[in-house]
This record gives sequence, C-alpha cells and structure tokens, in this order.
Amino acid sequence: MPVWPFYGGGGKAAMVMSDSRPISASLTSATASLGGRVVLNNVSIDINAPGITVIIGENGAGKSTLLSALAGLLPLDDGEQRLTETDGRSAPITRVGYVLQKPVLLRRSIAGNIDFAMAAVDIPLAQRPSLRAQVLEVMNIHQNPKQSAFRLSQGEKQRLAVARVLAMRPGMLMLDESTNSLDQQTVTLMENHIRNLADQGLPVIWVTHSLDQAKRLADRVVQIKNGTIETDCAAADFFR
Amino acid sequence: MEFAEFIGLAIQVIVSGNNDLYEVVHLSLYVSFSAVFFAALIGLPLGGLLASTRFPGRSLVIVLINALMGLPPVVVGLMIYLLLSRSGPLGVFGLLYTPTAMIIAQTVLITPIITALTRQTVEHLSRDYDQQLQLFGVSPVKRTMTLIIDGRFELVTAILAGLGRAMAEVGAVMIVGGNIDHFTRVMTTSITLETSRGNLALALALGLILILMTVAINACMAVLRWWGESRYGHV
Repeated sequence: MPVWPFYGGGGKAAMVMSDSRPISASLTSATASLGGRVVLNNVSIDINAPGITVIIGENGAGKSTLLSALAGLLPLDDGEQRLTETDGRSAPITRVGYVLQKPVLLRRSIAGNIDFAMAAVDIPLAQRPSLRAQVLEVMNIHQNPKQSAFRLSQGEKQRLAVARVLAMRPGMLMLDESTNSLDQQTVTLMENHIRNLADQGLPVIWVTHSLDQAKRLADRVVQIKNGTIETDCAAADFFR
Repeated sequence: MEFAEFIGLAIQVIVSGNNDLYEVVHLSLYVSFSAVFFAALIGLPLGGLLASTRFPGRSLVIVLINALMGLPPVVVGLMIYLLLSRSGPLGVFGLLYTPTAMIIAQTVLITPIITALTRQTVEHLSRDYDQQLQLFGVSPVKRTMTLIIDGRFELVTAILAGLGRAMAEVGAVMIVGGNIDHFTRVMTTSITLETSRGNLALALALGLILILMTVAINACMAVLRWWGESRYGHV
C-alpha cells in the first residue's frame, strides 16, 4: 500500500533519507488524562501524506500532548494510536524522529550521540561513519565530532537533536516547538532544512505556538484547543 | 611522650622503608580495591536496574538495600566466618583466614552502599532520559547500561563511598582474616594490634598512611568528577 513516493530528488537531505520509507500516524477517538485532568478529548487525526503538518494552539491547549500521543509516548485512556508502514504493518516508535521540546542530549560527544541513535535502529556498522557525516553536514554542525555535546550552544544542541533523529532514518519527523530557544538566523536555517526534507517526501509534524511560523511552513494546519481539535485543514484554506 | 613526638616517630617509621609496614599497606590496598571491584561489578548494574525498572516489591527491595548500608561489620564478619569455617557450607574451600575471605567480607559490606548510591544517581538521571530512551526503543538492559555510562562521573562518588568503608573497616577482616602476620594483616588490624601492644609510633604511622591514602584517592576522584562534569554536564 505505497502512499507516498520513496524519497528521491537531489540535495543533501535526499542523500540522508535515501533508504527511508515514510510512515503514517493516527489517533482514533483518543482520550487521555494527566493528573486527573482530561488533556485529549475524543481526538481523531490521521497524518498520512508528505509535507509539513503544523499543530498550533495557545499555551496549554494540548499541542505537545497531541504530538506525544501521535508518537505513542502518551498512554491513552480510550481510543487507538497507530504508527503504520506503507505496507500496512505496524511501525515501531523508533521509526519516528521525535525531537523533544527540550532535547535531551546524551552526556557524550557529538559523534557519540549520533552513533547511539544509529545503533538503536541497527544501521549497519559500515554505513555509520558516512551517515553521521551526512546528518552533521545537513544540520550545519561543523564542530569536531569528538567534542562533548554539552559544550554546544543552545542552537547547536537543537540542531544536533534533529541530526540525531535523521541518523535513525525516520519515516516521520515530529518536532515539538524545536525552534523556541533559537535566534532568528538559526530558526531560518532549521526551517529550510526541514522544508527540504519534507519536499523530499518525509512527513513532518511540527508543533508551534507561532502563527507566523505556521504560515511559513505549513501544508496542513491542525488547530487544537482544550484538548480538542478545532480545525484541521489545508494551510491555504486556514490562512485565506 | 608528647603527641608531637609520636608524630615524629611515626614519620621516621614511614621514611625508614620498613618492609613489614609496606607489606601491610600493600595487602590493605589489594584487599580493599579487590572488594570495591567486585562490589562495583554487582552494585552498579543492580542499582541501575533498581532505578530504571518497576516491579512489585521494588520499594521493599530499596528499603532493604538502604538498611543494609548500615550493616555492622562484626556481624558480617561472623556470618562469613560461619560460612567459611570448616563445618560451614563453604568450609571445603579452605578460605578462612586468607585474604580472599577478607575480600568476600568487605564485598558483602560495601555492595549495598554502591547499590544504593547507584540507584539514587541513576534514578535522578532517568527522569531526564526517560522519554528520550523510550524514543530510541532501547531494551531495559541497554537502558540501564546507558544510564550507568552517562552517570559515570557521579557514580565515582558511590565507588568512593565503598572504598572509604572498605579501607576503614576492621571488625569483619579481623574475624575472617585472623590478623596473621605476613599473611592477613592489614592497616586497620595492625593499628588495633600495635595500639594494644603500646607500639603507638607504628600504629600512628599506619594511621597517617591510611589518612593520606584516603585523602589522595578522594582528591583524584574529585578531580575526575569535576573534569567530567565540566566537559559533559552534571546530573
């Protein structure tokens, strides 16, 4: 059941993603609560097409909760969450390239962080050095890979977190307010990289509270309020 | 004799190159470091697993291990003595009154210390790493290993606490080692013996060496931890 074309085309992003296959993520009648408070209320959504889906909403509306539920990080009280390969098989969580709002870098070197991610998804040993070099190149990280990740600036840490998930050859990218603490130049850089990846066929779900960012990036907009999806439509319709 | 004179005599004993003295120091280090090695081999993974897994009765195990941190050395010595004595279940190995028996006793004493401190450190780190490791899809064993590796500089403290306890311990090694001259005599048992004999200069010399070694090891570990945390961040 191939839904999308395999990644192809040119550019650095395509090179990185060349062996990946996209996946889809869905929630059906999902309800979840945290500390007795309902944070998702009967939500149904299906992300099954390439491009960037932007989840927007006010602070506390449930954007990050929706994203973590889509990835399978949030236990549901009711309903169903699915990650699906193009052939209909269930996909493991490691097929999701999820960048947390506050990325957790391992207390290792830059290379150590990327190597750990590649090992987690059993990337063949022979391919690892070149893939590592590619993802660092794509995310414009030019420091010595042996340098400690702790010593990177906030923006570099954020980009390393993205590079790390790219090294896992994900079938979908999920970014939780990943440009919040970055300067405008780095934001633009990251947006361009992610746009490039999305254009090559990688489905991306991007959580943001910035309407401007949503306008720049979105192919599809999902607006959430009080744990319920209020709007789910094409970006062109949303911003008309 | 004044205290200062004792100190002077002790320093003379240290610098005189007394073979007996250095034999005792050497055996002390061998027994303590061996015990720390085996205790770390057990305590680090056990503490890591306790921190990163959930199972029924986990709280009870944690309470038990915390309680075992305060094990009375003489009671441990007695238990090991009963196990290793000729009529005991492990008597056939003939280990009583050997350095091996002393290593076993010290390992039993310090394993709970290393386990409990490892659990605390790894649990702390686990709160930060939890979601990220879930996203990497790692197995519980790999997860525990990752947390131990990434908490390595803080775990130095756990090892140090174990080493401190091992080097200062006297009751258990006296019972299972027997304080035999040129065979199982270590610094702490020597200090006890020489003090009872009135040979205070030698006892003080051993005490000084013990303190100096403890300070030096702690200083090295503190520098290692500082270096690690400044390079890789702290938990």
